[in-house]
Amino acid sequence: MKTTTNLFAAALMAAFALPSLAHHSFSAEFDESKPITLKGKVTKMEWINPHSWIHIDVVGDDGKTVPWMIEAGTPNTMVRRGFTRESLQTGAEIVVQGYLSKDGANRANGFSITFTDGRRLFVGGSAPGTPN
Amino acid sequence: MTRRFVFSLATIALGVTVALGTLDTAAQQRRSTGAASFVAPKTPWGDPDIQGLWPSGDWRRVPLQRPENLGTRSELTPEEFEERERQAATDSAADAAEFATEATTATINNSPPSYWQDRGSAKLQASLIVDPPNGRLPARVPQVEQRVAARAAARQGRGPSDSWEDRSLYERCITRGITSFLPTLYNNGNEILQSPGYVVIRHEMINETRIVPITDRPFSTIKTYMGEARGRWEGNTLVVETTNFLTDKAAISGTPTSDKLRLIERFTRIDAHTLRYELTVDDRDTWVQPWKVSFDLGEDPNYPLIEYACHEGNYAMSNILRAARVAEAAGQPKP
Repeated sequence: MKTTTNLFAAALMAAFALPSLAHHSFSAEFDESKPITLKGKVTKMEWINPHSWIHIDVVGDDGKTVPWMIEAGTPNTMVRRGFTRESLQTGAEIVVQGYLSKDGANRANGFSITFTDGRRLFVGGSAPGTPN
Repeated sequence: MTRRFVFSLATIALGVTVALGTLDTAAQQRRSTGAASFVAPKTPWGDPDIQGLWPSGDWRRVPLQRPENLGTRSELTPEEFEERERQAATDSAADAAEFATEATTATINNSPPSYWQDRGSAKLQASLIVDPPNGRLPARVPQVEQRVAARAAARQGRGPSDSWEDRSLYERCITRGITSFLPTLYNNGNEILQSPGYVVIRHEMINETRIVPITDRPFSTIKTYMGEARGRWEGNTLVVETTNFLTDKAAISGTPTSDKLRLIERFTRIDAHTLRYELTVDDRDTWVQPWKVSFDLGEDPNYPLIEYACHEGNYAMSNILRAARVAEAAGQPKP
């Protein structure tokens, strides 16, 4: 099945940014003026500290496949929310809303990550294969 | 008419029920004085036993400093508490929603998303700071501004990301400092272990472990990021005094601290599953008076610490440095 791709940067965003409280500075790494939505297939999940990274393949409007890296939460929190290594399988289609990295590479912070049917990721009990 | 009357009665009854429920919940949140019949457990070698898993994430909704409009009122009113409960319930429902909604997707902003975070529950306590009585940080002494200026002068000409050394110790996965009982976004696990002559305090965030000797041995002159600790027992309370902090980049709540910084922590098991935590920050070269934080930690055997080997995959650091190089190449001025 051909992966539908939707890649765009919205021109508008909330006029304020909350203070960065994570262990690293969001604003030094990601561009708050460049929100982005990506749809793609999971190729790898890196369960690493301080934050997990999801690797996806995104097919652009020109038909070319481009690999992207999506920053997710710390593994500790995700495990406590019932997310396991079985929850996000290679090949799963997901939609990511987040912010583009400031260096222009194909990386983004994953603020909102859902399956293509709208189910949310990282919610205890809702991801496939996770205990309730 | 009758129907309206019945509806009004029902509304009043519901209101009373909600109000009573709020008062009940609020009463449960009231700061415990400890049961008179409680006998503090002892270790096999006779010290008070304060071992256990004591996560602090449940306190995330309580600010360090009290809103100024509350003055010296240390507890919320039932209405204010109810509002905190309502917000907690809303957040909890959003976290548990199986499907994304417009509300959860349309409000993205450049802060960590909820699935990264511990949420915490509503508390009656108005602020973590309990002294001064207004629950706010005391005024800073004039030396602080000199310290800020000196640090700025030492960095003159440097950008915030010229090197990894320009980034904070926290970002570099080196230390969060010893104020780690204060709740943060996530990884709020804390564990206390004891052996004869020592108490070990582990913090999940940044994977830090403090080994506190129970001794009256004098302090040395060796300075470290985590400082030098001495512990003693006062009745059933463990008192840990820590000093000899490295001052380079050290800061508490955004204020650079001095080499006079002394932290006094008190740990008291006030019932079988509650540990009272008190932290007094004493730095006369920074604040005009000491200030104190206090809150009660609930034991949670289901919150084991998970290793947080933060440095191993700290892609953020290389991403931040690369972003700065791209900005330089584009001719953007250093912020």
